[in-house]
Amino acid sequence: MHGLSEALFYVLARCGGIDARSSTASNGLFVNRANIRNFCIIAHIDHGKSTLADRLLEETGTVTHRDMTEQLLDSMDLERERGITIKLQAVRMQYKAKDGQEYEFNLIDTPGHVDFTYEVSRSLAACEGALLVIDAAQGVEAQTLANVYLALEHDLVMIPIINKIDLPAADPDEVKREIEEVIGLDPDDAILASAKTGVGVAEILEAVVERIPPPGGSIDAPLRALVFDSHYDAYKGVVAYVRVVDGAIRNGEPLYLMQSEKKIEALEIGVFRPNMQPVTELQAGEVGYVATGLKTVRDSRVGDTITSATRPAPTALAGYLPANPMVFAGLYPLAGEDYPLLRDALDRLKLNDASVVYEPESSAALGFGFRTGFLGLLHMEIVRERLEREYDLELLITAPSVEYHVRKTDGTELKVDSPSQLPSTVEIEEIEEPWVEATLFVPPNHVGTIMELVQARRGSLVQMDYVSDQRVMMKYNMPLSELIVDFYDELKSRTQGYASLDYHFSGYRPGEVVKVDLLVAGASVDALSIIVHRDKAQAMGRNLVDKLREVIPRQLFEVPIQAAIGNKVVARETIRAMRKNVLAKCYGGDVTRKRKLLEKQKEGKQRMKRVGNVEIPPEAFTAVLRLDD
Amino acid sequence: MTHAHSSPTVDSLPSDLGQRMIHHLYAHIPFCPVKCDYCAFVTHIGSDKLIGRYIAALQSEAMSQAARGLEGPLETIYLGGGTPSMLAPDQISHLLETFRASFGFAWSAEITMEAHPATVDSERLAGYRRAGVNRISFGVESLVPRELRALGRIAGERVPTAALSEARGAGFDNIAMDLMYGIPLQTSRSWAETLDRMLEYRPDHLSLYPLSIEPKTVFQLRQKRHELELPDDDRVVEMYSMACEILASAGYQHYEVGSWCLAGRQCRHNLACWRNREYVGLGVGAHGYVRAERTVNLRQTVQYIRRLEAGGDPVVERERIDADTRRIESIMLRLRLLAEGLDTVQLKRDHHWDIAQQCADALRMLSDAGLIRMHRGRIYLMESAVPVANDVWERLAV
Repeated sequence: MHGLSEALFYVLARCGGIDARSSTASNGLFVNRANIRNFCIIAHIDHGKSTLADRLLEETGTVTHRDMTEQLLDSMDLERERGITIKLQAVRMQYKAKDGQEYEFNLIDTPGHVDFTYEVSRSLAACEGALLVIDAAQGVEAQTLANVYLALEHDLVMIPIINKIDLPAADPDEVKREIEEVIGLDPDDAILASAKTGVGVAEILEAVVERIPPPGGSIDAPLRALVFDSHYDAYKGVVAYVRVVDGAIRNGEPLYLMQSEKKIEALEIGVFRPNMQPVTELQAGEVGYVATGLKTVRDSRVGDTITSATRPAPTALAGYLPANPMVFAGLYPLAGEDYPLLRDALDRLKLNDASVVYEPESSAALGFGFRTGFLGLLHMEIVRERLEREYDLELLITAPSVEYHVRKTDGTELKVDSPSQLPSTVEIEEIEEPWVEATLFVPPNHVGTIMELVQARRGSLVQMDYVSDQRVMMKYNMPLSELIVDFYDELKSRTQGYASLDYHFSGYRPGEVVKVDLLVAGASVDALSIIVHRDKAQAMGRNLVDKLREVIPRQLFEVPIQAAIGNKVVARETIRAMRKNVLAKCYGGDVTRKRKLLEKQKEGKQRMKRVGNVEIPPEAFTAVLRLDD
Repeated sequence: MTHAHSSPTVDSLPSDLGQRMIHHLYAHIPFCPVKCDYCAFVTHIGSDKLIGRYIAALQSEAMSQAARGLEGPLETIYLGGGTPSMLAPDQISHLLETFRASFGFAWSAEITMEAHPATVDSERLAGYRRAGVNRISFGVESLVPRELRALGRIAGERVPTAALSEARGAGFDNIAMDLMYGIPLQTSRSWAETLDRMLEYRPDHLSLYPLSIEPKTVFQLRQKRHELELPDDDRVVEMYSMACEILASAGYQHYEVGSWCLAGRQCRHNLACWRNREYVGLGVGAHGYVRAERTVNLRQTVQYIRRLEAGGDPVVERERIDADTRRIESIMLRLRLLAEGLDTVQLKRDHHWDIAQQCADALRMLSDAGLIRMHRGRIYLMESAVPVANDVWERLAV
């Protein structure tokens, strides 16, 4: 299975319940451009975006109810398990409206987690409208707002949908008030719906027809198609997801990628309904795919413009800025000999997830691995899980770090995303660290504890608004490094899950940060070092030492664990020597059994990383993520 | 010094593979008055009528092994169980006669028999001695009645130590005792008491084992249900250290991880196993190691009997021991021998394996950590390292 969006297509195609050819329109027969609607669904996580998408597919007859069930049962991928959408999906639907006309809907699903804001903005660029889904019981949340701002930037028409009105706690009037006061949309435009029961779904479909404008662009102009996503297919090579803005793409036509300056050929073009179905032409306003035959996604960058090789457009479309990784960590194979496998796995993962960046690094403790950049912590977890599942690797991941800008006393500047790269204190003139603006929605009775939390994380309050008597919106400036370690979990636990968070990068600021080294049995272990604010370094060192004492099992000898800043030891603990392991009788009969027990014991230790004489379990390297404050 | 210690170290020579000569024999007697709650050995309860048929089956297995061309003379014979003392002296005598007829006995052969203190008296013990048994090993386990009950053992009317005096009276001059520590209800104090009372009788040999919870035992079941309260690891290690001290000051040599003896009283049979020698294994569930092959017999007594009555082969598992495995086993087993250690020169000669080079890092680490001692080409497991011996073996038995 390839990407996560592809997983869905794969499952649907395998169900065999979708016979794309039975659909009446398209397959080269085009509906009038005035009857095309391109839109996406935006929502805070858990507000019911995927359920609504499913319901729309069902209501338009794109997927039958039975297939939907099978799909849920069959699909075991990360998205389903975690209940989140990670990669976008694009689906074409046919809809016969009340005006008697046949419409072509292109629905582009969007991810709901703050790590993937970048992907949201990509899908928005391919749409004219957005369904803004808000939970009738929860109201406007941090990512609702973040998504609204993105949609406004792209001039999208928004249709507010108050979802889950069947819930006992639903309070649509309150949500309407928030739509007006917090978002600034007309609350009378809001549609009351329940994607679960189907209430309001018909109204939503009609609203799409009535309120969202048809795509603009000119069929006669030279071809310009925006690549808004891509995935790698083992048979078709890189498959680019495109929105045709001007002109048309025809099968077999020679094409040109304007940004990459590469010639390609449309090996196959088609649409998603929801499995890939070939068509002969994609016209201005349509959404579909182009199988390029390219071998790496890097060659067809997301945001690139496809034009005709024979009749190129004079200017490219405004693309996207590349996704900037915010969080960096070392990825190491548990078994050193798996390094080439990890390299191949990352190369292939990159084909589907261009936002992952990596370069080789080596650690005295862990051997060869890759410094890898992620969009956020969730993204980091997902990449790690995908690598382990899809490529059958066992990985060790080090504590995440942000990227620091260091100006040295000799005037040179460098970017540091790993503690081991940080020059010694005397060489450093100044360090700058990334800051974010964080938006939090919290219940009023939790404001105090949240202020305490954010202040402890060096945050400063920028703005605080009581959006209702239920919730307060707080905006903070805070260092990203304080946010990536355990902040979200802490936020959730302090508010019993009622807080929501969104953040975006706001710039670099000088920071008093230092490196804390961890010494195990007297030797510094590079992969355990962390960079942390000077004021917290000692407490953090203390915490880490305590945590390591818990996670490192007793060894055959006493193991001192120390934290040091520069040459100064700030914390010390000792792991006592192991006292006893299983020691059974061994007469003649037990020899084989005994030998096998030892073999098993040895295997069990193979996941440990040996540093000097000490065997350290992989969990130790992310101990910093599980510190108690 | 004993025969065992002075015997030439022709261990594991490649030319040894597939040889005809066999010097050690183990015979398993599964019958027991009751099954103890911790025991995972093959046992058979409450069918004394089977004993006669079982002895016949053992005899025919011995004869068929001899007919395969295996030759003695046997230097050690070990009747283990189970409870071999469930057999009458004349039954033991018949068995030994068959073994002697099949393989021949060396003049100095060590003939050990395990016994439950509650199943013997002076007369019976004298009978075993007359039958040729010259070493008797009592499974005492504890001298504290409530600890014995917690183990699910029968604790007869008589104190277990009575059997010891009776054995001396019956002419046994080589008496062994098994004790367990880390058992339910046991305290450091009760353990010391057991040891002290035991030492009054000055057994020639002592085997002390920490309780291990074996699969498919009552104890395992109770542990799963959290109904078993055991001393924690630190306490168990304390009991071990205590035993080391008490026995050392009483003049016992700690020659194997779980075995202590008076001078020259090593168990020669077990020494042979720990030196990785081959041996014949007879009886239900018995393991054998003959001609570079480890075998396991049928584990059900009735089936074992029927198989042999039908003239069949009782072996149900066979494992060919190749040169590498033989080396690994040799290292693992010889490192159990605290007093004699692992002879690296011999290892190099017999297995073309330079452990000093192959395991240089591990040896340095283990030696730095005080777990092994290297002296004159031998590697010795330190007495204090016994509780973590698995970790030493794991690093060196490669």
